[in-house]
Amino acid sequence: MRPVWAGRVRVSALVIFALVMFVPVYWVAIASITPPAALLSKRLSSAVPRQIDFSSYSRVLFESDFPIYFSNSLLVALITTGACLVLSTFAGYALARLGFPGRRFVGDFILLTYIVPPVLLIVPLFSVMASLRLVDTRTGLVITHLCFVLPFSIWMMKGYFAGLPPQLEEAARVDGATRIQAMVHVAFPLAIPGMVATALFSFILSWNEFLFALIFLNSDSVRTLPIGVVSSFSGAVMQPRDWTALMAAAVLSSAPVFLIFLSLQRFLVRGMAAGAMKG
Amino acid sequence: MSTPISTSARSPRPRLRRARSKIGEPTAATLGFLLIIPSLAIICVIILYPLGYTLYLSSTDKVLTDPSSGSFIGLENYFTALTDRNVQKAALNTAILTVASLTIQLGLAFTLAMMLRRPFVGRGLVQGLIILPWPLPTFVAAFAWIWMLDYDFGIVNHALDALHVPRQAFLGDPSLALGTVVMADVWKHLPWTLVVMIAGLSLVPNEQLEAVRVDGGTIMTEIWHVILPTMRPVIVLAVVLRTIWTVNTFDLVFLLTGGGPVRATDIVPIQVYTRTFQSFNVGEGAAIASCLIIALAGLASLYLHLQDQESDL
Repeated sequence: MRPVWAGRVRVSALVIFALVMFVPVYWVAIASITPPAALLSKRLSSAVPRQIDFSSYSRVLFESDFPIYFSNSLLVALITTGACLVLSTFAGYALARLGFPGRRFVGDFILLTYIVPPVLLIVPLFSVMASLRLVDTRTGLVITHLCFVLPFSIWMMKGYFAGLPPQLEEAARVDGATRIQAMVHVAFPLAIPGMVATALFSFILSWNEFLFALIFLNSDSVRTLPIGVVSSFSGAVMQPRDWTALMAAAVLSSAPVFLIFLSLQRFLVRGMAAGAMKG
Repeated sequence: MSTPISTSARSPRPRLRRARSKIGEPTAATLGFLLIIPSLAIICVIILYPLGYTLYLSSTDKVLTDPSSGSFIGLENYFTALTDRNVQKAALNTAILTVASLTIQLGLAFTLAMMLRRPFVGRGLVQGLIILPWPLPTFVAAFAWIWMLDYDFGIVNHALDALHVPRQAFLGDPSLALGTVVMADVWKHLPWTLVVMIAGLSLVPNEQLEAVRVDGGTIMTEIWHVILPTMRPVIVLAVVLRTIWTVNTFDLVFLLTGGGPVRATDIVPIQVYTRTFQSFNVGEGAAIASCLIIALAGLASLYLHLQDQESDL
């Protein structure tokens, strides 16, 4: 039917495209292990370094505040993800299964809040946080992260629950289960792929978040990776002093999210398909 | 998984059986309320209240460094903002960035999703590589691009040299900066769009595709008559969400260029930022931000309206 070569052309095109997409990542990784002098070369051959130098990693790990930033990011991301998962699962279930008055309005409303640009929220959020004495704390940052992770997560979980056949829960109730038991023992286990996708999404978003961390965290002791790395390894923003260390920090900052993403990505397509189709 | 999958955005919901509540357990409505209150509370505090406060601020002349400011001036900030050339330029840049990035992303994502349909050896790896930019922290992506495009030491300029094309200052040249930023935005966000497209494509019913093939249709017929109509809700969703996110984008552009050179890549969120945190004129910053929200709210309402239309079919 279709000519044989079409398959090979298709695969080659895909491979080339994938490699092109990979170039920036490759470049960061390579730059982190290239000796600084070799990095400042004007020639294409610098793409494949002749010598490998891991000293940048030791500079990052042992001579800077990187470990502190890392643990802060981890703490904030984990708590944000946990809170978001719990809240969005409950809210998603309520919106999908439990008919309370105003349900449709609430659902639309939650999605609408998502369009608010984070930049807008900074000043008022700052004064709210200040009055709660949460400026320059990680707790405060978690709360602000929730504001942009929660709406989409609720929407995704709602879509996922809506896609599950209600017969199973109804059957459980006929068998004598209470509503809550049906929810916890039947619906939740079925929704695990959706929960994984939501957790993945929240974690990545929180880990990578830059703007709120920039505004709300000032002390080095509570700073997360994005601003910690940017401020430590660049003189001014955009003018790094120590490129190789910066690249090494970049690699180390990306590693956790990469690993989590790679191991869980199969849940992503399923979770998003369900969320998208059921609106 | 034998449940027939509905292809409209909101399928006719299975009727919620009004199961009688058992003795002592909360009704559906009560439970629903209880489950949703915590989320609603947080959203109200973190989003609604600041939103209201911002609207209030936009009607004052408050400047953070001037304690005597903060008096009501009505819509004056809006007038100043909308007639300000810098704001107009930023709005234009935002529009260009959004339209360009979205068009490229959608076209690429759909094409790639189609090409990735049939399995081949190494498909998982190829897919993984293409999706890799997604989990990458934005600051890492920014530095990667800055370094790649560096005039003296960047790999892109090395390659141009080898091809005997003159080196370019991609991020430093006002005529190239915006296009470069568009490319970076596409690179960073194509993975998300691609995943959505793959998900949408996976829900296209095979029987209809078979029917077209049996009738002697080409791939274009398949696409036009079966795939695109089936994927419509997914595509609409991707367009709306991506538009909202691209219009609101801040991190990547700020880290790449800071809005320069000479405002070539100044976008509305960056304008809000500079007015609020560099000029400390929060009144004006709030006004610009409010305009942005109003524009986006229009778009979001349109989406919800489209969704409702689908469910009536």
